[in-house]
Amino acid sequence: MRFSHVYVESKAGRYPLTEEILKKNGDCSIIEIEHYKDVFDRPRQDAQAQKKDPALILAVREGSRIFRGAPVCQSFGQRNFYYSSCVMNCLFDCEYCYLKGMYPSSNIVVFVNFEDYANDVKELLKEGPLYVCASYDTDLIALNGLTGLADRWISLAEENEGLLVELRTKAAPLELKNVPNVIYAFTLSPDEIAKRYERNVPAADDRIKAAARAVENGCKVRLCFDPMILTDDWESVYGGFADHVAGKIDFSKLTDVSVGCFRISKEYLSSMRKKCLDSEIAWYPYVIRNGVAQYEEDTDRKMQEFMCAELSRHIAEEKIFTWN
Amino acid sequence: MLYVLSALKCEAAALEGLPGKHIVTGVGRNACRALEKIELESTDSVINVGVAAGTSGGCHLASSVTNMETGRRFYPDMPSGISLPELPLMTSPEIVTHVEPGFLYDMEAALICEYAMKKVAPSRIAIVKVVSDDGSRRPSANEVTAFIRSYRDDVAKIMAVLENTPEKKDYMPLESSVMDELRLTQYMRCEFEDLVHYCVVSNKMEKLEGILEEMRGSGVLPVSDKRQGRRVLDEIFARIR
Repeated sequence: MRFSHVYVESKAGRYPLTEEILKKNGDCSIIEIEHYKDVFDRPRQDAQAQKKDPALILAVREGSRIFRGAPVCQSFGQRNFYYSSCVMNCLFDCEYCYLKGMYPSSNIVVFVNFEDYANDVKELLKEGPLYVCASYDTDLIALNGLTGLADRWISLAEENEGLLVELRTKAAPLELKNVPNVIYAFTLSPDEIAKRYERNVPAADDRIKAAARAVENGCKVRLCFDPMILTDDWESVYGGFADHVAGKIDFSKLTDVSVGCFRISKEYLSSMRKKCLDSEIAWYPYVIRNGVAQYEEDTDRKMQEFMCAELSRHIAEEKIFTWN
Repeated sequence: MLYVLSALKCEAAALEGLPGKHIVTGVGRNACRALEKIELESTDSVINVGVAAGTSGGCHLASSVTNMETGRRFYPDMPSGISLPELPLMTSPEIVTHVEPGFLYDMEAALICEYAMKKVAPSRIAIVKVVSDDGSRRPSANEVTAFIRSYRDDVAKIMAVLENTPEKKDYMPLESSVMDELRLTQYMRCEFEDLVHYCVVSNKMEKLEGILEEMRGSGVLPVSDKRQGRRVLDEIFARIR
């Protein structure tokens, strides 16, 4: 992936990572900006149009960099659950992605001051072990070739054993480094769902193969069957999917799996609907429970129980996590 | 609608025959008056084509536009697949006689951006400037026309990108009388419109129309009051889900 336009915040210019990224990105138009929000937060952006050819924004993250985990996210029983966003937005274009409701733009912001993130983590580690999901609002592994930020999180984990890092991805990397306190979390969808709702994303089977390679390499691997998407024939779409994946990945070596149906905060859904007028996922008549738009309780429970039952044939139930 | 804005008649003359609604805005602050007369809608696009002062000759896309009077800076999204060089553009309230290398200077682009960005997406705005001079002399009207005319093809390509916007769709194809049949409150109307929108994008309009027809046939519709309307609406929701 090469970006034709790169906006560079004036403060970001002095960071080595800026130079590295610009060098790797190659020939492009560089536009100097004062603050990333001058471009990223402009009103009335057409995020759908931008998604076809997003620009890259290199910036310096000031203020908070590590946040407490949100209630709609799973903690996997970990205490001190945090998440961090050293990149905002993603190369991939999944119709159900909450980022469409979260950000006003499809341009990708990379914060080049990783050292500040590392220092924040080290500060928090003084209070005890820490679980940080570093790739929630982006896909760091997909962008790693350009930014090297997944590698930096992995190195940070290697240097700090009290730190457990989760790197969630839809990429299909050929190789992942085996580090005991790094969990590679692969989001998997049945082929029908991937083809229908996940654009510019590696094929479902390529992701399964990548997860299998990571497992064989001894890496900690989590499989995320999340979000499950309701379709008229969801039982046949998801039925057999666990068996299909278990035929290719040794489930006995998995760290755990997660299951969850699509859900999104009602505010993000409202923003997503304005941007994605033709999205059947955005416009589905969800019910709002505790500020979260989700499928009807009965449907949600049925889908989740169905998937858990399918998975429990291959992995111990205590290793299956659900978000509610 | 694509609006093609130029400050001078001699600039607009070079673009005759190209698509869009062509408007001569006048120079500098005069442009504001012309802009106010345009009732831009969110689906419109705007291209500003004109000459600028600068040291790098040729035709450029403005990567940023700064109002030198207020300091405000605007960033139109750069159109995809256009290979024109890009430079930051400074909009001055007065004729510029000294130019810095690496910048372009004009007198109205920032005013156009300020107005247009209140209405349309930054991806629907393009500022195209042909360098006519370095501030030391003023080109004649004929020269201006000739400068711009030599980049007509580039301008046409940008126009094509701006015009390539999705068609407006009708997400409420039902007769409004359905709302009366259901006796919907304002809030319930919004809920129902969202449901119809979902049915349009998920190809379930036939199913929805079937449900409504069935309800009419069994005397459920029209409902007698708003309370019953709520119950019937909930039933429609449940059946569509």
